[in-house]
Amino acid sequence: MSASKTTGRKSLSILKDLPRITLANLRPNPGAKKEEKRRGRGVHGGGKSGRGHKGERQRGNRPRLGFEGGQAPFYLVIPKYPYNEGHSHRLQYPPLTLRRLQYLIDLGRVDTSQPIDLTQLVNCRGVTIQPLKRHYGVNLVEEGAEQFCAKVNIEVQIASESAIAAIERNGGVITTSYYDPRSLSVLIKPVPFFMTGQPIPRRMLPGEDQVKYYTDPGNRGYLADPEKIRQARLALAQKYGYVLPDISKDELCDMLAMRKGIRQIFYGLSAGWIVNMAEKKILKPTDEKLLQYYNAQ
Amino acid sequence: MLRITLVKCGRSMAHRFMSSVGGDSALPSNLRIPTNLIDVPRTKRALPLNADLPVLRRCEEDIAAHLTPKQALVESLASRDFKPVGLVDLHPDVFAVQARIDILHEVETWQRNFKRISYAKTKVRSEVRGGGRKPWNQKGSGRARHGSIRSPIWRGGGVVHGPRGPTSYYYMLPMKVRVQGLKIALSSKFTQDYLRIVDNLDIPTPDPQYLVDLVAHRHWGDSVLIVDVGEEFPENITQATANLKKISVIPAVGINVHSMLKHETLVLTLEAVKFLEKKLLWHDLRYSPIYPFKLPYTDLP
Amino acid sequence: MAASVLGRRAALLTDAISVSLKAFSPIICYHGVLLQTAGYHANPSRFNVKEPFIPDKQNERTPEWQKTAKHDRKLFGRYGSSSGIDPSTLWPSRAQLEEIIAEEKQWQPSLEEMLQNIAVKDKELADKRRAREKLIAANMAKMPDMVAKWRMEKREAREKKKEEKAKRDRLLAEAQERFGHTVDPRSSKFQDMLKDMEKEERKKRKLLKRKKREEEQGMFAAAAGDNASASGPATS
Repeated sequence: MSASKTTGRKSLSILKDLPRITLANLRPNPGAKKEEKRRGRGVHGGGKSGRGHKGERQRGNRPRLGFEGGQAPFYLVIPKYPYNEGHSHRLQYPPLTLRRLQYLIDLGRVDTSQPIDLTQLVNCRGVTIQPLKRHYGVNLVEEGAEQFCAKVNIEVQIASESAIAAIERNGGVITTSYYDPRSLSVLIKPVPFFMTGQPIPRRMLPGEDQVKYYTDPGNRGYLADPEKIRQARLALAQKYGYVLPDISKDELCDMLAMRKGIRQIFYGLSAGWIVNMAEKKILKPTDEKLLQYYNAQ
Repeated sequence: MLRITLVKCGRSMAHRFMSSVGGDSALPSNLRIPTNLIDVPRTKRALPLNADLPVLRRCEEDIAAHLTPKQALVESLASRDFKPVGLVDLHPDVFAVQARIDILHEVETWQRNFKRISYAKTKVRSEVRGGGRKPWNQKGSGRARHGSIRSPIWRGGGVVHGPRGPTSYYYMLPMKVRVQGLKIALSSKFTQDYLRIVDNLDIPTPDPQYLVDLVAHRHWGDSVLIVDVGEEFPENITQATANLKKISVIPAVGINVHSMLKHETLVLTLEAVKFLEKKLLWHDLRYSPIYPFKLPYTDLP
Repeated sequence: MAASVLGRRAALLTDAISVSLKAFSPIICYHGVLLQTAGYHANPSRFNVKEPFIPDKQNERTPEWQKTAKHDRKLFGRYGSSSGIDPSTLWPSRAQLEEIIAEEKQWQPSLEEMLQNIAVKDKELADKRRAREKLIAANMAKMPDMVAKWRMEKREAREKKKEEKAKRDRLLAEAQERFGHTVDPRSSKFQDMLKDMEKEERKKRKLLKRKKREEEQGMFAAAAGDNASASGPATS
């Protein structure tokens, strides 16, 4: 690529005096297309066609990959150890640094006047979540906590203690909540889900190993007691040595206090509703059994 | 049709483009002008400086601070003679991008090949009818040993590494490369003076001869590609161009590098310019897709 | 040319018209060159179609997958009410809903259940830990005694060893005295000497015992004589 700003325009001033660019004038950059070596033709590709002289090499009878002529092969000499056992059952949480979050907020890609959700983060292309790679959400990490200075209402899936402290120090609110894989794929790509015409599913509760994390007020879990969370906020402020700002006096208090229900996937939409993008309409069920099912806790 | 008036200039400027082909001639073979060429002298038309011509259209999209919009004359197809109706601003990021011939080559090759399905299929020795039985004993007959009459060394036998079944040559270049190809083609047409802007496609008669005369009179060249926005075109122009081979009318969604390079002159209407600018500049600022662009996005520009 | 195709596209779409080739159109003179063009109309494009394609459910030629409920939901999602699908079919029916509820009940325990299970598991773990700690504490309490005992045993063993060494040294010194040069304790001379020494000791002990007995006897006799002399005159 050219370094100077004017090189592109120079090519146009050269082009003005050259013959017309036609289908006959086009060619690739020199060195871009390497001619393939056609085997069995000519001096370079012909003769033995690159197969060597006699033996297994020329006759195509080489032993399998990894075979070392009878010596114990490397892949059998090294003993097995279950380093990766159950790797596909492990929950993965791709990290989101506070530095990246601040960068996104500064560029205006994510709007701090609305609650920040995984949907918002994916929409601004801040994170890439692939549910098929056992991603269960985003992990808020404290790198860049010194430069973080935004007041946000953020909802992630895992958060480290320092990250929670950094968010709360700036007057924000952080919640950790669980999304099962189906809800997660609905959350990150809402429009393709709405195009399938299915009702919004209920978010499932976490499994037993995760329930402990999300009922812990120290992690700001969504299943924890709000009173205990309040105490935990104070305790954290004391531990990290900052003054906890009072959110109830804030003008964005309502927005900061917004939280999703335990079974809710989207803000403002509840389970069982069908969103139709073609006509921009929402359809809600009226059958009482359906309502009972979708509104149960 | 090449400009003989600027041939000498071109030869000297093209010195650095000298390829290794032919030691005595300076230009490569495809840039050399044959000596027996019969050509109409083409003069470069400069913008009339006393222009009281109104600027019919300014660029809607933002232009970078270090660039200025290009200007072109707007003509009319209503009469045979050339009479400028106004000026139009062309966005530099669409009509004055760096002339990357290699990208044009890539896009042109892609356009030719991605639709290609070659249906050639030859029969392998197992598919040729017959040839299951050993023709004669291994030993004793005095003839060479063979296992089947359809082996590749036999006449009428199977083909060894021949084409196997319908092969698809489908591949997609990245969207931004294809967009850049369009921009480069438009820019090269504009800089080499093969781009004409027209206010609309209203012609007085459906007679094809009118168009042919117009093209000849205005020295537009051998072939003309007319681009307009919309599904329906005025009847006169559709009728006139229906049977003309070298003058084609296409909608703006059908604009492509191959057609632009095949036809000598490109004629755009004002709406087509607006449409192309909007569509081609969108790719510079968009996010990468998380789902296909056909599905609705609320926040993508 | 393409524009005329577009203009007639709607008509072309309804009737499936294949490629129509116009036979020789009028000859055009252009720059003195004779040209003959054939009009060509491309097949109607199947991309970017604006009208929705709603498959006919009654027709047996429609593929099975276009008659499923899933496809209906997709059509509704894509085209809305103009797809002609009854929205009430988009939600699960009564039977399906019951199935879903049963499945959820089986596989997704409620929060209270899970908390209870967790509490039980935690309690078990805590109990185990406590039992283990108790055991450790009890054993640790025993430790000082065991340590002292062990130390004492070690000390006694050490002393015993010292004594034996001392005894051996004494015997060696005696032997040297007797014989005048160092004697190997394993040799026969040494063994003989030991036997002699033992005999001498036994003799000495016997002599001592006899002396003691004689002394005692003498004392006893003297005491008895006194008593007899004391009691003799009393009786006569």
